[in-house]
Formats: sequence, C-alpha cells, structure tokens
Amino acid sequence: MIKTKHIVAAAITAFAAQATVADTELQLDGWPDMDKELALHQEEAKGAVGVDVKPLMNDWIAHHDKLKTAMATGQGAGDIVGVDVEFIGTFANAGGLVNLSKEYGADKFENLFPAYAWNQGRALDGDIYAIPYNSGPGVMYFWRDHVTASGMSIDEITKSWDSFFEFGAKLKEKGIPLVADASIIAQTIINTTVESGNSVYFDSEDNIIVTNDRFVEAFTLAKKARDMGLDASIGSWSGEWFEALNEGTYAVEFSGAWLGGFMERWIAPDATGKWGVANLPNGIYGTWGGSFFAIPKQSKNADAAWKFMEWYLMDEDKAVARFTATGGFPPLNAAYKDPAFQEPMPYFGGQKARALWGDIASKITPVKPNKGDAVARDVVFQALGSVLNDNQDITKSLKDAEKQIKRRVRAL
Amino acid sequence: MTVSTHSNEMPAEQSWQNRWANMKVTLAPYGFLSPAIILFLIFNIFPLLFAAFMSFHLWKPSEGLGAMTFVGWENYYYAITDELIYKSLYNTIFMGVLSGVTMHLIAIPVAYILATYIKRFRNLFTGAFFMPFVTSTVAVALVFTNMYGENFGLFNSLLATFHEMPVIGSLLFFWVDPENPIRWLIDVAFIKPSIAGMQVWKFFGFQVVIYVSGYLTISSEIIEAAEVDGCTGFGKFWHIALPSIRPFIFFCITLNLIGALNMFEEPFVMLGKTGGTDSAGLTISMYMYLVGWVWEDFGTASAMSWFLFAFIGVVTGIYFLLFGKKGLGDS
Amino acid sequence: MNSSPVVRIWEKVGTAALYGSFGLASLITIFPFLWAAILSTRSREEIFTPGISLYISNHLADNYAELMNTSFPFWLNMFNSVKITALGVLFSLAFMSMAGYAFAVYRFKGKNLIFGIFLGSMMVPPVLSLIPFALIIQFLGLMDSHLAIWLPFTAVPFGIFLVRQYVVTTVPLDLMEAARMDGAGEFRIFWNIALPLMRPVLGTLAIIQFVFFWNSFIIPLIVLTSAEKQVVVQVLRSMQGLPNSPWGAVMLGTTISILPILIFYALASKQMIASLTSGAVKG
Repeated sequence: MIKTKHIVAAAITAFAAQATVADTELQLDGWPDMDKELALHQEEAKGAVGVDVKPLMNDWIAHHDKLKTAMATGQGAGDIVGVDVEFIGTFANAGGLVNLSKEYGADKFENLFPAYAWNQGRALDGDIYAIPYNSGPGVMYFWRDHVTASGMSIDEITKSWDSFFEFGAKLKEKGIPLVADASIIAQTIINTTVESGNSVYFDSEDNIIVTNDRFVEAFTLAKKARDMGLDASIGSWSGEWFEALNEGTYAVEFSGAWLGGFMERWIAPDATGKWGVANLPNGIYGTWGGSFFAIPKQSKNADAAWKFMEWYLMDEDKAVARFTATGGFPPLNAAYKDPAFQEPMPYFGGQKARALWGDIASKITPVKPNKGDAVARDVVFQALGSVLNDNQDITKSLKDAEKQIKRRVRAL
Repeated sequence: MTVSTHSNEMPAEQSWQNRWANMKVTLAPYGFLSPAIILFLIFNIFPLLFAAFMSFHLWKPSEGLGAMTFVGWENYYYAITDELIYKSLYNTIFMGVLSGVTMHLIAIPVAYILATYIKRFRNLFTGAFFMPFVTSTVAVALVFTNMYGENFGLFNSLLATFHEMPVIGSLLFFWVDPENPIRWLIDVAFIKPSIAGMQVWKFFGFQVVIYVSGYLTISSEIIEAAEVDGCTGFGKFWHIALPSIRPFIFFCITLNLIGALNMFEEPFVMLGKTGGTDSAGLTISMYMYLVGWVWEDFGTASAMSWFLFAFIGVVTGIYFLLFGKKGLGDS
Repeated sequence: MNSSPVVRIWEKVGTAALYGSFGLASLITIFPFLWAAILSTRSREEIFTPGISLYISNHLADNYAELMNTSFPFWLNMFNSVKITALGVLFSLAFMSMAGYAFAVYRFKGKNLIFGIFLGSMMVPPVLSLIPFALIIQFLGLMDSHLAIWLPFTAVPFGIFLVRQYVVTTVPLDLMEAARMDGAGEFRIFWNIALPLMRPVLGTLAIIQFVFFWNSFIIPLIVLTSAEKQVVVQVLRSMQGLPNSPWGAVMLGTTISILPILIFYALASKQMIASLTSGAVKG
C-alpha cells in the first residue's frame, strides 16, 4: 500500500535536486495555535526542506482584515497565509492567491483528503487555491446523566428531529434545557442538509435560495425549540457557557470535533466521563470550522512555500502530532487510521470518540463554496436572531434576508 | 513699555524694517502651522480623495487594485436606499446623546468638586477615573459582556440580591424578577442603554480631566471677588465656574460627537459584527466596516461615508452657527 | 468666620461622605484592572471555574513563562511600544502646540477655512481610510517601519483643537504685544511666553497622545510585517485567539502593559497641576 508519506517523499526527492544550501526564510501569517503547532516541526523543516519558517500571529479577525488589506494593496502578506473556512470562498475566488493546481499540480493530492475538505479549497474555476490544514467534523456532545435519566437511548434520540424534540420535552419536565441556544439547531440544519449541486445559500447559478424548504425547516425547528423553552439562551464562548459545560447545565451541544479536545484540556477537565459523543440527529453529517493554507501571489518565495506545505500538510504523522498537541483535527484520510484514533478516550467515558470523528469526516458530503457565503451567512443569522428574540414572522424575515443579500451580492 | 523712537529719524530703512517685522508676524502663523498642514495633506487628503474616487466604483478589496469597475452614482443610490444605514445612524445618535448627556451631567459637577473641594487625593481620584479611557477596547468589551451576562452577570446578580433585601427590596427593587433576569445585551430595548452605559464608564474620566484643568485656570482673583460679593457654593459654580469652562464644554461635546460616530470596537466585541438583535446596537462605523470589509462592497461603503460626511457637515454647520462664536471664544 | 459645632460636624460628615463616594467611584472605575491583575496569578483552569472570587493564586511564574514562550519577543515589543510612544508624544506636543497656538492667537488669511477643514476631517469615521493609508505608506516605502506608526498622527486636528481652546482662555494677547514691542521674534514669544503658560494643556495632551500611541493597534497591524517590530498591543491581541487563549498569561501581559501609562500619567498630571497652582495667570 502506498502511504501518503511515500508520495510526499518522492516529490521532495524530486525537488531536492534544486534545493539551495542556505535556509530560505518563509513567513507564515496565521492565528494561534498555528505557531505552537509550527514549533513542533520548525527545526525539522530546516533540514528536510531547507526552509526557516517564522510565524506572525494575530487574532482571527485581525488576521483576516490584514490579509484583505494586503490583497487590496498588493503588499504586506506573508509567504504562507492561513485562511479560515468562513473566508475561503472569498479569497479563493478573488485572484490574490496562487493557483496551486496549475503551478504545482496540486490535484494529484486530492485523495489524501476527505472530499468535503478538499473541495472547500476549490474556486469556481475548478482549480485548487488552498490546502486543508485542519477541519471540524460536526458531532453532538451529550451529558450522559441527562440521557440516562430520560429513559431514551442515544440512538433513539438521534433517530430523527421528532425524537430529538421528544427528548427535549422530557428534559423540560425536569427543568433542564436541551441546548445552549436554539440557533444551533438552525445552524446545523442549514449547513448540513444542502441540496445536491447547491452551495449553502446559493444554487449553481448564483440564485439566492434562502427562502427554500431547508431554511424554513431550520428556522421553524429553532423557533419551536425556543417556544417550548428548550434552550438556555447561553451564548457560545461566554462565561456562562464554560460553566454550563462544566456542570452539564444543558444536555446537548453541537460542535466540531475540536471542542472535545478543548473541553478535556481546559474548559471542563473535571467533567471526565460526564460527556459522550454521538452523530448528529436525523442522520446528517456536517462540519464546524476548519482552516486552510494558501500562498499569496505577492510572495517572493512561492516555490519554497509550496515545498514546505507539501511536507507539512500531507504527512499524517505530523498531523496527528498537531492533533495530540493542540486538538486541531487533521483533515487527512490516512490520519484516521493512526492508532491514536482507535484509542478509547477516558474523558468521554471510554468511548472511541476519535474513531467516530474520523468516520463522520469520511461521510460529509462536499458543498461548493460561493463568493457570497460570508455575506449570506451574516444576513441569515441576523434574521434568525430576529425570529428567535423578537418574534418576527419566519417567512417575512427570510424574504427580507433574501432582499438584503441580493443588494450585497451585486458587488461580488 | 518702550516705544521705538527710530521711526522719526530713519524713514526709509525703518519702513523696510517695519515691513519685515510685519511680514514676520503675518507669516508666523503659517510657519507654526506648516508641520500640521504637510502631514494633513499627505495623510488625510489622499484618503478623502480615494474614498471619493472609490464611491463611484464597484470594488472588492481582496481582488486587488486593478479590479475596480466604474458604476457612476449607483453606489450612492444603494447607500441612500439602504434601511440599515438609517437604522445605524439612529442607533449611533441615540447612544451618543444618551451617553453624552449622562457623561456631562456627571463630569462637570464631579470635576468642579475635585477642583475646589478635594485637595488631598485629587490626583489619585482623577487618575482612577481616567483609567477606563486607557484600557484597551477589547478588555473593556470583555469585562462588560461578563457583567451584562443574563444568568451570571454582575448586574443581574446585584439586582437579585437587592431584591432579596428586607426593606429596600420591596420599596425600590420590587420590579426585579429573578425568574426572568434582564437580558441586557439581547433584548432590543436594553441593548442601546447597555452600550451607552459602557461608553459613559469609559469616557467620563477623560472629561473630568479636561474640566479639572479648565476649572483650575480660573484665576483666584475672580473667585475671591465673587465671594466678597456674597456668592455661595452653588452660585460660584453656576455663575463663575461654568461660563469660564465654556470653550472646554464645547470641545468635549464635539469630542462626544466624534467619539459616538467612531464607536466601533466595543459594540463589535459585545454584540457581534451585525450589531445584535435586530441590529439594535449597530453603529454607523460598524456598518461601514461590515459593508466595506466583511462584505467587501467597498464602493458602497465609500459612498456611505460621503453621505455621512454631508449629513455631519450640515449638523455641524448648524451647531457652529448656534454655539460656535461663544464656544470658540472668538474675540 | 464663626461656625457652630453643628455646622462643623456637618462639614466633616459632608467631607467624609464626599471622599467616601469618590473612593467608591474610583473602585468601580479601576475594578477591571484589579481584576486583570488578580487573574494574572491564576491558571487557565482556575479562571474558568464558576463563580466570582477575589483570591490570588500562585501561577504567576507559570503565566510569565507562557508569556515569554510565544512566537513574539515580549520585552522587545514592549520596547518598541515605548519607543514609538515616546517619539510620538514628543513630536505631537511640538506640532500641535504650534498649530493650536497659531489658530488661537493670530489672524491670517484662510484661518477659518483651514480650521474648518481640520475640524471637518475629524467627523468622518476612519474605518475606510485604512486601505488608502496603507497605499501611501507603501508608496513612501515606509512599510514595516515604526515611523509610519507615529509620524502621521502627530498633528491630528483633535489635539490642535484642544490646544486652541486652551490658549484662547489663558494666554493674554497684551502680554504678547508687549513682547513684540520689545522686539521679540514670533518664535521667541511662543517659546518663552506662551509655552510655559500652556503647560497644563500640554500635560493633558501628552497623556491623551500617550494613550493613543500606546493602544494603537490597527495601524501597526497593517504596516508591520515582522515579529521583531510588533508592538505590545499586537502581542496581547494575538494571544487572545479564541478559543484557546492562555488567559492567565494574557492578563499578566495586559497588566504589565498598563503600567507605563499609569507611570506616565502620574508624572504628567503632576506637571499639569503644579504649573496651575503657581499662579501664572494674573488678571
């Protein structure tokens, strides 16, 4: 069996003939923890690829603003830049990144990555402009005690949305909220049940589809959860949210696989054995977050940058090392076969959570990104807020959202 | 005061010297202003022209400079017919006025008390009040988000405690409902006051500092004269101190206006980039950031900024017409 | 002045109440800093345990180690901040005092027009000027330089406005006329007569500019591209990459970075008050 490592090693040997003696200095622009993850392999990179990679970190928002400015003015970006999945549609199609398919034949690496992750780095012209760095298969975390007390098994609960709400009703009788905030239900449905051929908010002809059944169902179910009093109105990443994760204040959280790592290490380390992981309800598969590496056209060391990216991103051993260190979930098929993924996790009560995550990753259907994704997402979730918090009518707010998006997208 | 006697004796050279002296006086202000003007021309004029140019084009920043397309007045049309721009303007003005008035009502008397009555720890108190101004916006926003938290935030916890207290609870805090704590940052009705409250906390100390230095410039002779005339504490304040700091009040109000217009970071961190429920907390700066940077419709954002400029120009024109002469202290 | 014992007691009570309420208000305003300082001593897990408590923990050394362990050279970045702020404040005082003085004291052609333009430019939010600003900096070849961070802001209209207001109320024109009659040059008048009288506003201006330069983030973000040149604000912001922030270290860094401002404020405000009470102004 040809392992990824062999392909990469062959590629590197081919390049090695052209390698220069002195280390080329490369700058990696990104956000934490990319620097900590880089530190694991920084020294090695000097010998193996002849590059000295220096990180320049900023917080997530500032980093992307800085990148936009650099793209706009033609100066100021590093040699390798991190791009979050929320912005990948914009940057891949904007013309400021190197076309990795044409310049370096990136397409041959397609099978190393889960389909959904690989396709997110693809622009509308069909070429690849970014390589997946980490990803977030969507899972449901549940507080074991609440599930046991309800008398339903976890499989029963996740069978369909109806059974999920049934679980919620049982919890309500005991005064326990089902989810942190009702909007998560909408988010899950919107992102994971995309009709084939469509992007999340647009169809293949760039028409806006936010008034279709998927969105109506998402909004209706979220509103139902809110009306039934099933959510706790706790915002993610707030102090209350951290407390809730520690104490199991609410029963279920939908998030990416990376949340498990965080919960284990610093959010709720004392809650060992209290949480479990499961698939999302109703047989859906989706992703939460993810980031990519790309090479800006303005870089003067594009070749060296690509050499490094190949060496760094396509080797499953390195990816697993990063995963163990910081919890960044590897987007490499070969990584899921690593023994680390088969280990039972004591934090989740001995469950083989990583194996589940890897399995989910392979089942997520790719969704085409669209230039207007960022805008549409903001508008739609603003509308959701009005429906949940301000009692606006669902049909009306979706129609308003469509109007708003239409305005904005004319610029794209 | 010496009087030059040369003028009678040497008319020809003197007129040259006079002219040179006069020229020095006339040229002097330009000399003093030159660094400011040069910096302004380089760093302020070009962005203004750029924004003007951009307002007639369609441009997505991440596509680089070459990607502009000319669209004429279309951006202005979209800017003016956009509901959100009026909503964000309304929000901005509402919060600006609310926080501005509150701030002034607090800062002016407080500064007066600090200037006249409190001798011992004056610097300490002024320094303490000034601290919020110094804090990084993100830290402020995080602290306040925590304090405004619905279930565990400081304010709601305090309210609940007061509600429980025996006498005061039933008299003053009977309206508190521990079952339904106030959702400071989520309920549309509360969002604007919550943000305004944070603004007051952050900036009132700055105003106190300005006013204290203003009060301290009032010459002691005037104060003594007033006391001899029988002026008491409040009278001193109202008739002597207040008018003397009028230019500073003018300055601070102007700054309030500008601060309100530029308010961006704190609501952004506290409410998210779309300004919270129903965009109730969306300020005009946030909206321009949203349109220009997040949604990358830079042309429309530029048109919005010119529209805003025109709007402010009119308002400021009226403001200066009414208060300018007195505020500027022009002779 | 005879005051009865009752009045005297009321005065004492009043003064005590006054000091007391001011003390309380001060506590409210400085609470976030105390909180940040306390949090600097705790580990991240401790910070996330539920409930509010004021205890001081023992993880200060750990947090410090973590602060040193980032990809940023923390103390070098602190030094950068100090250098930029010092230069910025110095030149700000120079340029703004001259400009404000000119507007307040002279009549000259175009005075109102220029002042109006200055004032008007303050009214437009600078959200969008970032890109043209970057273009200018690139054009001047000043990318990744510290000069680009402080120089453009040493003559902002706001400071000029403040100085002008102050000079209008305090510097008497007859004093200047007298000096002119004595043959003093304009700059001499400015330097020897006006400037000493302007000390309080210069102190205030120094503090405000200090805070501005010290806390400035967006400009360094766009202009600086190497880790050695970064300023301390950027370091702290970059560490706050949710969701994995090392909060204890962040709080420690924040507390350290506030100290220079406090020190400078203590110095500057002493200057301000000292010169005011020396009775420089005579009716």
